[in-house]
Amino acid sequence: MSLKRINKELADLGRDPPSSCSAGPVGDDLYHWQASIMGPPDSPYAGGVFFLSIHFPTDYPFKPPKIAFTTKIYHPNINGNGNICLDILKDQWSPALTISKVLLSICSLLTDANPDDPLVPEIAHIYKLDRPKYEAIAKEWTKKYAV
Amino acid sequence: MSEDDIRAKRLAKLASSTPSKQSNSSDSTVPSSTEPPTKKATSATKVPSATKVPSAPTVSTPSKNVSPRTQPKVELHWPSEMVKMVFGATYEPPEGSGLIELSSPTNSIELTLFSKNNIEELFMEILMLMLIPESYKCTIEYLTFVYDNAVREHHKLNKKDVHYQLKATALSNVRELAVSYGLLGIMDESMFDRNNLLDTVMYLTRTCNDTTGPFIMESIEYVISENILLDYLNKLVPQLSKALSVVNLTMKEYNQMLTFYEMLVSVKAIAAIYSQIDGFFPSELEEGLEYQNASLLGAILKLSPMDRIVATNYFGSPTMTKNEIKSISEGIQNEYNVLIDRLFSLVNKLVRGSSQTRNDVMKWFASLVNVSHLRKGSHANPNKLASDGIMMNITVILVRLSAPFLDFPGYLKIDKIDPNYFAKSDLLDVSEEARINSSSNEANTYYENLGLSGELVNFISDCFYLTLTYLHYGLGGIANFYDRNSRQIDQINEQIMALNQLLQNAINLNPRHAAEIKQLTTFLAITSATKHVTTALFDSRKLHLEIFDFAVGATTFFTRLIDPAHQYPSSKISIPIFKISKVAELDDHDFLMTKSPEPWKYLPEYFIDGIVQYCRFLSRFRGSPMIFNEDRLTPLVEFIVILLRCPELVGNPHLKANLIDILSYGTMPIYSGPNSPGFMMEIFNHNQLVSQNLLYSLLDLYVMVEKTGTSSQFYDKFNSRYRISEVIECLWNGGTYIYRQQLVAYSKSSIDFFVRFIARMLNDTTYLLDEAFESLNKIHMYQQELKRRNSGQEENTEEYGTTEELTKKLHDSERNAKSLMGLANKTMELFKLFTKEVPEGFVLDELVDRLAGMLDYNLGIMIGPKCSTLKVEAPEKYYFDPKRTLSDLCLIYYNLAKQDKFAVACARDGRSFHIELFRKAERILSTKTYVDSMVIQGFIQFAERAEQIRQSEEDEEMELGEIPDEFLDPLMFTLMEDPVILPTSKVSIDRSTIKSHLLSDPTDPFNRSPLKLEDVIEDVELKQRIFEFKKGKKSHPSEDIEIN
Repeated sequence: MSLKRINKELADLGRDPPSSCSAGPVGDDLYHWQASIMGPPDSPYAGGVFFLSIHFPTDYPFKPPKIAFTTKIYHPNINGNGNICLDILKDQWSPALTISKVLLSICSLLTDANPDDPLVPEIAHIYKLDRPKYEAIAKEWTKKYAV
Repeated sequence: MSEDDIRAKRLAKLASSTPSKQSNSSDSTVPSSTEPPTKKATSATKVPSATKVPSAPTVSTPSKNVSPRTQPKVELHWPSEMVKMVFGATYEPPEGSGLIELSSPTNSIELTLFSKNNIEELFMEILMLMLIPESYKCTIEYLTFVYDNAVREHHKLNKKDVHYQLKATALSNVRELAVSYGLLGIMDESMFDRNNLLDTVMYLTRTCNDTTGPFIMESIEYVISENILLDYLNKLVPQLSKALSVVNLTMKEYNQMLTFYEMLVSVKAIAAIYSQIDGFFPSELEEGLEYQNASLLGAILKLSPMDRIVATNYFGSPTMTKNEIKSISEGIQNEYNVLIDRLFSLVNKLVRGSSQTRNDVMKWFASLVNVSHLRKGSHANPNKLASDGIMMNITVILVRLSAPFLDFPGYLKIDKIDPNYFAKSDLLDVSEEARINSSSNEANTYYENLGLSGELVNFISDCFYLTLTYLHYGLGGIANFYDRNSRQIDQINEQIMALNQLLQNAINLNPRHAAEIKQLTTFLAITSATKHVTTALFDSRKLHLEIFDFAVGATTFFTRLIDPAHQYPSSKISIPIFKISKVAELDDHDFLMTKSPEPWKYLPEYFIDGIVQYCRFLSRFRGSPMIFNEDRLTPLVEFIVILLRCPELVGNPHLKANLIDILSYGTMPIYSGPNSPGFMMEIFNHNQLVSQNLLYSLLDLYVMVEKTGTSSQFYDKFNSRYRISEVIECLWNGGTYIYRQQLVAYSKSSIDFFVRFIARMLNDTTYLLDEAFESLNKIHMYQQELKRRNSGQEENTEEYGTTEELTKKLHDSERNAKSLMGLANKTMELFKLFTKEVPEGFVLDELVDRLAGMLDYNLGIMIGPKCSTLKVEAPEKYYFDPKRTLSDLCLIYYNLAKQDKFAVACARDGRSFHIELFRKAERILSTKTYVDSMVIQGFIQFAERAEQIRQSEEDEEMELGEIPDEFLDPLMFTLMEDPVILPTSKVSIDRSTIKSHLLSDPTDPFNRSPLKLEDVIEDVELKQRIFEFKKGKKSHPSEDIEIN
């Protein structure tokens, strides 16, 4: 049912790729993609390349795709399992959104974290009270896991 | 100041405050009233006469100056005998007898046979010269000793004695003077030596039950007659309170103090002015804890086994067996029954003392609960808030005060409860409270317009609404703390375990760890003890039968308020009250709000929440009053069904979601055994109001809980739906067919309503199975990696981290899998039930494609090449039974097999529909499961039919070739069949797509503005062009191919 929609998104991504991300199917399974995001230059993730897995549920696009980081990342809204706390991936999803738009939202989440709705409270705490420390750890992790 | 000066001063004071005018009459001496005695004019005649006593001890024997006129010789000894017997004193040298040595009386004691003056002088000498023996810790002790002696000697008098009258009068005088001096001592601490007020009060407290009772009662009669009762109480009660505020149930003093208190308030005159006593309601009270520590009622009502010290005293040992805990718990229940009876009787006497006391006590209760709202907060600070103990006590007391006007089953006095209470009274602070179904502003406007502000409300109404408030913030708060404690206990246990492991593994013992363990263990003991006591009190059926009676009475009141005829329960209420004209109205909260009855909608929501949460909490304890109590249970269940069935009554879906927990509790069997029905089944099946409305309510609620407005709504809904499924299953298996018949009827007559429900069920099944399988997949991977590591192979640390991290990940996934699979199984059950009863309900355009996609996909997961990724050790640990899931899927296909649209949808799936999968499934089902062969037959026949359709549709699509973008649906990119324009975003979209979207989200997907299906505009022009395009392609299929 969603085959045409997913094919269309894939074609659009190929024709007009966003500047800092890429995405495409893993092997021959059209419903399971891998994506990559370049760490935004004005963030402590700069220089890193972060991989994500994308899974399309059978009721896509009426329900959001399931996206998770597979590269370890130090961020208040992303936990150790790579799960992302982002409203458009939960209640605020709209079928008019696309993988491309979602990836861009994740990029901006990397630049501007949302410490008031954290997935990892400890990181959010450091983010709020000791920004330099947060940046140092985020940089270190980027260097260790994403370069 | 020298000792003599002090004495002189005291004597002056005493003389001025004991004007004994008529020395021979039985009239009592009169101590000064409100004014401090020192300020009273000193009578010139009295001071010298009094001071003379100590300064001029004349050496005279009692036998001197005998008047032979009236006294027969034999009686000469009586006065001195009495001095000995009553005062423990003597005019002769005591010579080691332990008696108080007195100077000789100034005038002849024999002559007047103890005149009042004589007696007074006697008292003065003993009290002023500090002659009381050391064994008496305080003056009052001696005075009560004298009093008791006088009473005893009085009894001994022979009525035939010629001097009987004189002697009796003399002894009465002694008694009365003992009382007067006692009062003097209480009114002025500096009056005597050894006269500390607290000591005095404590002495009376200790002895009031056996010896000093009559003394105290006579004192009270006296101060009442002298109109100085309040002054007296102002001395006594604050001291008593102060002493009470530091005792708890483990000390025997609490019992004595309570007895003394009871003695006091049993005097109606005292109860009448109780609230005027200093410290009843100090103005500086702010936090709840201050109320209980620094006010008269607080000090007494805080007595509770829930007190932390008391709790640890009961459950101090960390290694207790279940039986020990049980017997201690029973002890606590019995002790609490006695305590609460006493506290209630005390408060009951107060509120019956006078209208002022009654109002002030209610005001105090209200103020305390007004500052206790945070008890329900998630960050409640127990160091500032009123304790669980005082809250529990007051709740029970209020429940008992309410009992007389909530008289089950007739409820003849129920109309005395004022429904417009909040228009009149501002006793309870509800300014911050959410209302049942209106805004606070609307509520305020309504109440203002009634113009009843300041009008008197009756005690019944005060009592009723206060009880509801205590039920919520009092008992509700206890439930919160209980849950928090339980979580804490788990956490601490984990911490201790981890620390112990560290200690065992560590080569160098870290002393910090040992200390930490010790600290944690202590904390654990306290927390567990507190939890045990709460458990004991909530296990107490006797106690909760009373509270539950109140809850039932309250729901009856509310149902009567909702009832348009206001006749319930004497006549049945008919629901729904407001009849919707279309299903979309069910989701239009603003509209429904306008249909909600007044003044019901303006009441604070916590009234309902308090009752509901209380019943929910009760369901976790033994001896719940809901069981074996069907008469009372019926109005409660009716109330719940009314709230669920009438969408205009309650606005908050979260509150409704809590209602389902109570119903699902009702599906629990009373007796163990497979065929035992749930204890509410009788009501579900045979109560007409319930059986006619329950299923509709459940299907509606299933949809409503999607958005509860809480931050955890995404996950909460699954739990609520689990409960709903439990109830529905129970209704299906419960014996009668009414519910199945109703379901068929809804699917035919209220298609929109039915679809609304099916769509949610479909969403959930898709999501839950997806997530559950993903968790299983992870468990599979983690288990494999662990196995590799354990066999010494190379560790894949980049992907799985250290072994510790890996174990943690495994635990997380295990927990997820468990809950997700449990929920998914439950949803599948519901799916099976419903597809069997009403298969045609599942094949509507907006549903059928998703349904087919979901089923095909999950069949693929179970049977396809990836199925090995679900292989985990001990799958039953996660409620995962592959054969069962496969059988369920097969059965659902079978149930829907006759629906042509479903076959088409499967054929068009494009993602997971593969005929080979069905063939493989057939083999497995036939050989490895117990699914009926007829069902398997139907399953595979259906698949073959779908496959045929798939092939022919593929051919058709080939004919169409390239389709212009404008003909494609903007979300699905399929050729549109029935394009419509969305009113605000102006986007053209296929009708089935937007219908499908609106099932779970009532907004325009392109701009999120609210959208209803009936607002879309048919795109006639585009539809025509698509039609022509298709026609053109069908008649000239080759052209297109050539162009390409």
